[in-house]
Amino acid sequence: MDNSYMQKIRNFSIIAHIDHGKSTLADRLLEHTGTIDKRKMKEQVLDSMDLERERGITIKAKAVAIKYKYNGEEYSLNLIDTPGHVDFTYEVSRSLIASEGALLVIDASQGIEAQTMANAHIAMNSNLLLIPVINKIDLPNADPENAIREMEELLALPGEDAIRASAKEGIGTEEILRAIVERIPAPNGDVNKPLKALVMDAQFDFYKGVITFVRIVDGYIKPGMKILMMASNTKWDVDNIGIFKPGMVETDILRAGEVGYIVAGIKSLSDIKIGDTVTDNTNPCDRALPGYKEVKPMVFCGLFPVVSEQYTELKDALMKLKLNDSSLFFEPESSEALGFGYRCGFLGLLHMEIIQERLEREYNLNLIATAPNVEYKVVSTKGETTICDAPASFPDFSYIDHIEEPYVKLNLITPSEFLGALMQLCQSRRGVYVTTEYIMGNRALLTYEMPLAEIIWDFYDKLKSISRGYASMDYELMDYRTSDLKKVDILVNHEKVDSLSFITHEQFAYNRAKLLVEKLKEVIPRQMFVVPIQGAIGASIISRETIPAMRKNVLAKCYGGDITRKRKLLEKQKEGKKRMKAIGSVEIPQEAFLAILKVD
Amino acid sequence: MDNNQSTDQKPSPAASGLYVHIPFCLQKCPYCDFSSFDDIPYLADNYIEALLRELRYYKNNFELNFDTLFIGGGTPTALTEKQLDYLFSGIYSMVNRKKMKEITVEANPETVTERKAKVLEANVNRVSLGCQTFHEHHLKKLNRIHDASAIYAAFELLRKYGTKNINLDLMFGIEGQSTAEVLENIKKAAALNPEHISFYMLTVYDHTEFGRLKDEGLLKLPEDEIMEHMYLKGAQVLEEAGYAQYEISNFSKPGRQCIHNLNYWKPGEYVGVGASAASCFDGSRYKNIDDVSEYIKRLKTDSDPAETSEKITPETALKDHIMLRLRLVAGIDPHVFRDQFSFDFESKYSNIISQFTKQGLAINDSRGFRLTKKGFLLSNEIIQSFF
Repeated sequence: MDNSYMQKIRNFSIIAHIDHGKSTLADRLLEHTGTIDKRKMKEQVLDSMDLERERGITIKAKAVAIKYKYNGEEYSLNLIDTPGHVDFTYEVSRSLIASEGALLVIDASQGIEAQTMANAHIAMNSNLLLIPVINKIDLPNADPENAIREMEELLALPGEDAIRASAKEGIGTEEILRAIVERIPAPNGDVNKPLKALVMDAQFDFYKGVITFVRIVDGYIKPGMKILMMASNTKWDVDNIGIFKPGMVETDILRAGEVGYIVAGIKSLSDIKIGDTVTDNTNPCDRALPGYKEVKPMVFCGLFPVVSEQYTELKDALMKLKLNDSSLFFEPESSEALGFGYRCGFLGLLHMEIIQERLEREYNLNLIATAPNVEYKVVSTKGETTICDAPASFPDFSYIDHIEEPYVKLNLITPSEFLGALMQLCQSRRGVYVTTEYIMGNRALLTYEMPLAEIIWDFYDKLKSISRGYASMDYELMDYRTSDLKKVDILVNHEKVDSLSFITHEQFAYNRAKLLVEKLKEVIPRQMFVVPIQGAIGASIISRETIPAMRKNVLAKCYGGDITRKRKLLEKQKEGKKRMKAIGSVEIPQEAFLAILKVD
Repeated sequence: MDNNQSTDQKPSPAASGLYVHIPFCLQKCPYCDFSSFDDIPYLADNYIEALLRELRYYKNNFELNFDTLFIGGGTPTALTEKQLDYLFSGIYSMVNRKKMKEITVEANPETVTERKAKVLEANVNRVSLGCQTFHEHHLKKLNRIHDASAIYAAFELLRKYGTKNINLDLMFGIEGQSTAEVLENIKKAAALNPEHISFYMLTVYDHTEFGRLKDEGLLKLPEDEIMEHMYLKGAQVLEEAGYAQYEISNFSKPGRQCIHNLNYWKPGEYVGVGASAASCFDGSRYKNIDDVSEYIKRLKTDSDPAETSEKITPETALKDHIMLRLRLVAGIDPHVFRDQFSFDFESKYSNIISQFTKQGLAINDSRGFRLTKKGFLLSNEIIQSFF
């Protein structure tokens, strides 16, 4: 077969920071090329979930085939969408290596953000051609020159390559499309070699089962073929294949250089591994594509229904979410304080937030989330290593020789005026300083090595508040390091509330225990009796507060006109208590379980 | 409602109390959450006419058999003598005054003149006087328009013209008030030797002026511990002065409990007329609209002034019984309870009963289950546990 058809294909992604206009730009490209009718277009086609739309981020990558006429000839431009958040770095990287080039979207008023830089580096390391797009030039505070200078300095990209655009106003759209054809190289696979395709992503469809998104590198795929997933070593029969235009359209063949989907009777997303290599079972390729990694959760928390009757509903909801999110991990957990629930693992903090919100919003669940944790390696005195992702799963500290915790490399980009305050923040979170690089335009790139545990503990909010929203961050896992960690238990009315226990570095233990106990005193309402709240490491009490007994809850007046109203008032108070968790005889509001996140 | 409807056999509601609401006052108090207005005195004539029409509806449709009458407000004595005369003669043309064991009117000190004291003596046998406190700085804080001397003057006038049964309202828990001041108030009130003293904790309601100030952090009430102390000490001083407690906020000389109010807590049936007035009879509760003009309009057009009605289910009857009875020092009478609900209070709620008796918040013996003074202060908590 002839490989020349590939000359008319361009595969590209869009790299952008949240809110820098990626989805709007994608919309303009689809609209401009007539891929989609403007009138029928739901704003931001690529973001299908409401929640994502609200947060301005995209979770799942999809590919859309765009037909574009250039010099009288028709080109297939495949737009491969990438997730836009720090938690999905691996997924981003798999989307990027499926492309030959990428649009690097930079907000003309904001400049380059940490995450954009991280993704740009991934793209460069994968030898992608970058087309810088300076977006939002129509805004009054736009400073495209400065954005271009930052780009030159931080990414060593030539300024004259940049295209000035406003996706909102449709400025620069044609120029971008031309640049995609002119600058991005055509794919260079060989359709005559054995099938080799990259699994970019997958989604679950209720009727079709798993839809696998692939980029064909070599060879071709047709319905009826038996394929082999090389990393997971599973075989499947291809039912049908196709492309997105942007709706799913079946085709007869997907050839080297093309992007599309495969439906192959795969029932569960857990059978699909992103980054895996698809090959022909009867004529396999010699080697899998490089860079495949198991996706592993990094952040864990317990999710418990407020009313125990919702346990089954929570289980069903998690299973449904998992259908479309193989990076979500969960297993049953039981807590003395909170009853039955699930220990859940997430790629990062945002991932955790999204899942929690979807459970509450789409599945109407009323949940208590415990403080997030990282995964610790606990080495016993006998030299055995246990992985612990919850304070409750820690063995007795007398059997522990040492504990290792994950460290990340943290990059912060910030206006330099906040540099001092951010360095202080990092230092106070056990950060190990690496470098500061000053960027033109009065900004700096700050690099630290830091325990992941410190980042998931209210770090992002602090970062944003210190920098008034201007600083951005990106992190990647480095290694595990030994730390002096302690487990702090909280006792309410002398009973240990397991869900309030937390792991912290020794230097923070006293202070955090003190603050948490104080906070709990504020949020736990007075009971009919005195309630002591204590923080403890092992058997030693390190902090204590006392909630005095309730002294009055009385209706001074109740005459003829008041009876219905007052009965209802009491019924409401009673209802309020049902939403609290009774620990022993103490009623603890949900807020108390969140208090731990607000302690710093 | 249909005023002209008349049945051959009028049902005779067991309602024993008649409440008449007068929603006018000279100046609205910032803590008051009753329906009362200080800017519509010109509506008073039409209003009285309207409420008499409402009473006539009851008269036409039911066999009325009231043994108490309570005219509350607002400040009923804010009406002129002429209006009061019209009101009383209207009421007494429809209900049998001779059968009334108790006729109470609420009054504020500034409205009690010689002439009004005479009108009251001629028409009622009990006056409830809102004095709240004898301390001038606290009267100011409560935005009352009378001073302490007006309380003495009003009391003296009432006695002079023959009112033999007087209640004084006292409030405690005012911003900046000390326990010593609360006790001083009680002693001054007791020195006047009224038959009844209501001793209320100041309660701040959301939609009142005080509610707004509290929200804005501009009103700081005494700490709960101090409130508790004021209540317990105050009750003790009242009892030492010969006023026995019979309800959370009510104390009286022997035999001088307010019969009308006792009926609410029994809980018995009653009819209320006027804007915002509530009724309870025939297994339902009704509440009239608050708006005075709208109330007048509805009565003029013979339409129903009730805004809400609620059928009393067995469940709400049970809740009401427990909620109201536990306000009383006498508490829940096991025989009355069994007669009404056909099960045994003590065996059904033995866990709750023993929990609260152990904590010293309640007593349970052959006379029944009842709250202690400490229990009264936590009565909302205790009542809820039965819900």
